[in-house]
Amino acid sequence: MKKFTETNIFFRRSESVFIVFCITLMISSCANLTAVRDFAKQSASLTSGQEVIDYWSEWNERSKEFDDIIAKLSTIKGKTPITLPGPINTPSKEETDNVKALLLVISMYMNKLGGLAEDDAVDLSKQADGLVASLNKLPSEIPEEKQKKINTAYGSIIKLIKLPLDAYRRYKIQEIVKENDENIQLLIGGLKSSIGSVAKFIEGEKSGVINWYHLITEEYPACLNFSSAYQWKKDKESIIEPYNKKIAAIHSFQNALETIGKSHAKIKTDLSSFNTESSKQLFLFLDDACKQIVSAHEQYIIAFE
Amino acid sequence: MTGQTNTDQTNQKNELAADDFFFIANQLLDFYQTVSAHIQSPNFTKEEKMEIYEQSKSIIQLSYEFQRMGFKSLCAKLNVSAEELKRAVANAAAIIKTHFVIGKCIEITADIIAIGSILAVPVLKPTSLLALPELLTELVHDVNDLTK
Repeated sequence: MKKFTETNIFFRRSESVFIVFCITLMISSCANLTAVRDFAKQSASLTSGQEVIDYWSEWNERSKEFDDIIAKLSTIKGKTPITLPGPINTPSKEETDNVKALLLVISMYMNKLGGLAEDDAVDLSKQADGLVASLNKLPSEIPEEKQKKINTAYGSIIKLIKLPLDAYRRYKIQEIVKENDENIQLLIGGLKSSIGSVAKFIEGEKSGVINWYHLITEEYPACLNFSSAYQWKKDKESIIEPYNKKIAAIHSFQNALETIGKSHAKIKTDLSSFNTESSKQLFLFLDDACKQIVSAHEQYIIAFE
Repeated sequence: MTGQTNTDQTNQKNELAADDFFFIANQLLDFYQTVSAHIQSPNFTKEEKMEIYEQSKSIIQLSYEFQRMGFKSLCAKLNVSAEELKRAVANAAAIIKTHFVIGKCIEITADIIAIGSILAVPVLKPTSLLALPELLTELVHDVNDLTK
């Protein structure tokens, strides 16, 4: 009887503690890090795309794209067909790997940042539920229903480990972002201007190819009728289109890089451990940034597939 | 400039070099576009257009070389930043592992209690022992996860 009364008191106290902590948990869990997670993961996906660097380094291969046609035209006596412009020196694998590594390190960093912002990183509900299920199987002198309630209350208290874990990981996220913001801005700034130059190069390459097309078709004309002329126009458009897609995708990529830089700087200043106004505004900003990054990534994948 | 370390001066030199290389490359590409536009102009004969086309190849080739130099210089400039970011990645991974370890400890406790609930009974039923191998495997699996 004494043991039963003691157990009953323990259960009531546990219940009160449980309710108080539940309310605290609800209040502090309102400002979750989903926006930070999504922004970081999408930034990681975007910056893992190194096709733009591969494309730039493969100019030599593309300059030989029409070599078989040129070879066929060479058989016509008295004429030497013009060739496409190509590089003097081809970049080595080491050169392109070094540039790709700069993008990759941003991707790895953002991936880990996103991992730290995952709910799973601090939510131990599954483990606590597993523990309660195991406790329920233990033999007990207390009636089964009451023992289960005690075990459930115990499990709820275990789940509250999330509170200090969450506070700790927010602090660490902000610390990591503060420590690395300068490096992130340097990397993003450098990459943004360099791939902008790559976009300009692709514009130039497009002009070179179109000029070659004009001159070669003038030198070796097809039959002069509407159908041939129409086909010539369609062929020219089909040559131009991939270049235009890539140039537009690179510009979107550049803008997305700029947004990643701005968002990272905002996390440094506005992420708070509490559900403050600045955190709310930050999460809205990150949601918009995420949409822009996703859109740029989709455009990039299509252009460079 | 006084008080600057050698590293600062080297970094500044590299910083100017990377931006300068890409600036020159961009200027050359703009010039190439201007020249390319003339190739489709009716003001030139076919032979003159051919001549302009062939001569202009060197402009885009030169811009490409400046881009190569720009990328080399950029990699040298940003190498330090990249290395520091890699350390930050390792730091974040360590924090994630800490949280993972806490979760795993709770799982291992649950595994031990599940095994205990079979063994710590007044009358041990032989059939309940059949569940032991699977529970032990789960415990070993969770401990291995922890030691990774």
